[in-house]
Amino acid sequence: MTAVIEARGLTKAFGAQRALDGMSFAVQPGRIVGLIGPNGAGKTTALKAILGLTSFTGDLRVMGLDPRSQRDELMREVCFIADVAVLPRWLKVSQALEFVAGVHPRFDRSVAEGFLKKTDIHMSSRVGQLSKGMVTQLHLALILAIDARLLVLDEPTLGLDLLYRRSFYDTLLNDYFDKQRTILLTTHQVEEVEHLFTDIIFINQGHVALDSPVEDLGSRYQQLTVSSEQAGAARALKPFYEQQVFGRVAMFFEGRSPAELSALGELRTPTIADLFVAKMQRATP
Amino acid sequence: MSANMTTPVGTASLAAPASDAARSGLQQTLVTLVRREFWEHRALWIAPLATAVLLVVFALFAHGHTHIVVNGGDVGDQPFSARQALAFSTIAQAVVWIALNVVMVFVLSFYLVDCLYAERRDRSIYFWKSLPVSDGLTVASKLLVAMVVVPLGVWALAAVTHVAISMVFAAHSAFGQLPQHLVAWNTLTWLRVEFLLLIGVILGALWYAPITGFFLLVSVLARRNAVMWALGIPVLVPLLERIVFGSHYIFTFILYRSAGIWDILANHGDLKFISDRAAEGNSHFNMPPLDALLGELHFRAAFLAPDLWLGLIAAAAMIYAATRIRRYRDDT
Repeated sequence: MTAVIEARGLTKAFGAQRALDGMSFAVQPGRIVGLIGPNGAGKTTALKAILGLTSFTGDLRVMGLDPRSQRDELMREVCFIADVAVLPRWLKVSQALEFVAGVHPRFDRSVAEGFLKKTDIHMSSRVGQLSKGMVTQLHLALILAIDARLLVLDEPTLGLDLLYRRSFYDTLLNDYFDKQRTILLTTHQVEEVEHLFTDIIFINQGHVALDSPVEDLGSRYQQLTVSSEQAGAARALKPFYEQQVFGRVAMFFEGRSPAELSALGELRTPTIADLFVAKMQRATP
Repeated sequence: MSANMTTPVGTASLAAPASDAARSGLQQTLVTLVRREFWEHRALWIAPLATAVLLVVFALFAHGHTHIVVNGGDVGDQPFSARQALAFSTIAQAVVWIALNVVMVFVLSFYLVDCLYAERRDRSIYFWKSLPVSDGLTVASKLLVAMVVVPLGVWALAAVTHVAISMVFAAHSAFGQLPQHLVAWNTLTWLRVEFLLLIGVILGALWYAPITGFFLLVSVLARRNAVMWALGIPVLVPLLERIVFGSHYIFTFILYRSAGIWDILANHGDLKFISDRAAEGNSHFNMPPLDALLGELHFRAAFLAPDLWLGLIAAAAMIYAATRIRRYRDDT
């Protein structure tokens, strides 16, 4: 199957600063991809390029289309939530449904109404009267009722409490996601959603620092926890990052065989959050 | 599909419904976009409607007598002739339209300056842009509101308001709160005046298109305080010219762009026939009903005025620029 997103040498500069510095990556259909990076790494710029919201140089195809010249066609296949607070305050819930139904040929109003029935949102309310969590629920109800092939979410749960965040991702996973769809997601709260991802892309300073399916992480990366006596021997195997944990040392290795390492201490596959910290610390000394 | 490719008839019959669907889809999108504008900018319909209601309420409380002063000479209480009453009625018809248009100009100006600015201010532009609506269609919907829907709506509202006011006056007249014979009704005359005003609507929309384009451009460009930019530029630039060069070309130009077409329509003020006739005889109020203007105004000259078409070209350029800027504007 052809890739949903294919980027080669994606570059975007703001003055002298390069937000995207020749980024290359591909997103395959039916995946949930986490785009993860520190603040200012270029996540939002990359998403804006994918959605045709900003100019860039390099080669980028989304659903086989060029977001620069074919944005209008692209938006029939792609949906996105850019940030939580983008629904205008004056909009009534009923008007929001009517509007999307009026302009989007693939919007199923009854699906959106079904989602809203499970919430405390009233049809006659204006967005300005809803809590932040409810606005996100409304936005999600609108977006999930659109039969899109690619859904892009940029920090969709920013500023929401834990309960709303949990129900947001539950809805996304249980009521929306299937093998025909692809989700590209950025978030700061990596720990909370790492079980969700099928693939992760780490980006830092406009570069791809890591691009891997989650199931391959175990064979590529190892986290070894050793006592301080064993630290010297472990260090000889060239970990790319290490940190002190309760008097012991956690070391991160790439491409070492488990047999080699397990003799020295406790071996496991790092969590995405730990791997992220390890990768980013190394990249920005 | 491939079987149809070989038979032109089959291809044609397939293509027709598809393009019909696309057309009805486009139509539905445009209607939805226009409705959206009235949801967001409620002043667009509330302000003219409230003004119309106010005018009718004023009419309800009207009482008194005709006291005519012509050329400084008091002609005293006189019953209107049928012709005078008709002229009076057509003037009221135009006055109602003008009053509603003054309100409309204010409301539309603020609307145009706000419409591409507010969506960036509240970041809702990312919601609108997540839907399959092109920038061209979005800007087109705002133009449609400002140049067609609202002016025509106000024209229709003014017509209804005048009918209502005429009925109120007729009732007042019947009950003696207003003089007899004050109210005259002639459907043909009324329709002719409405037609005249409709041409005014069309001419106005075309002549003021560059101002519409300028407001849209300010709206899409301003980082903050869009209204200040929209008002500040036409005030400060002529002032600067005056201070630096001591000339006032820009001021003259702005003045011309705001009223010039009506001058052309009125043949550069050669409408003396109205005041001449009004002053005829023993200085009675003797003005003809306004539909007489149909034969006197220079529609041809107005619609063929090169400045009208140059203005439209300038407007098209500004509107195109606004559309392109909205496409890649990225300041949030």
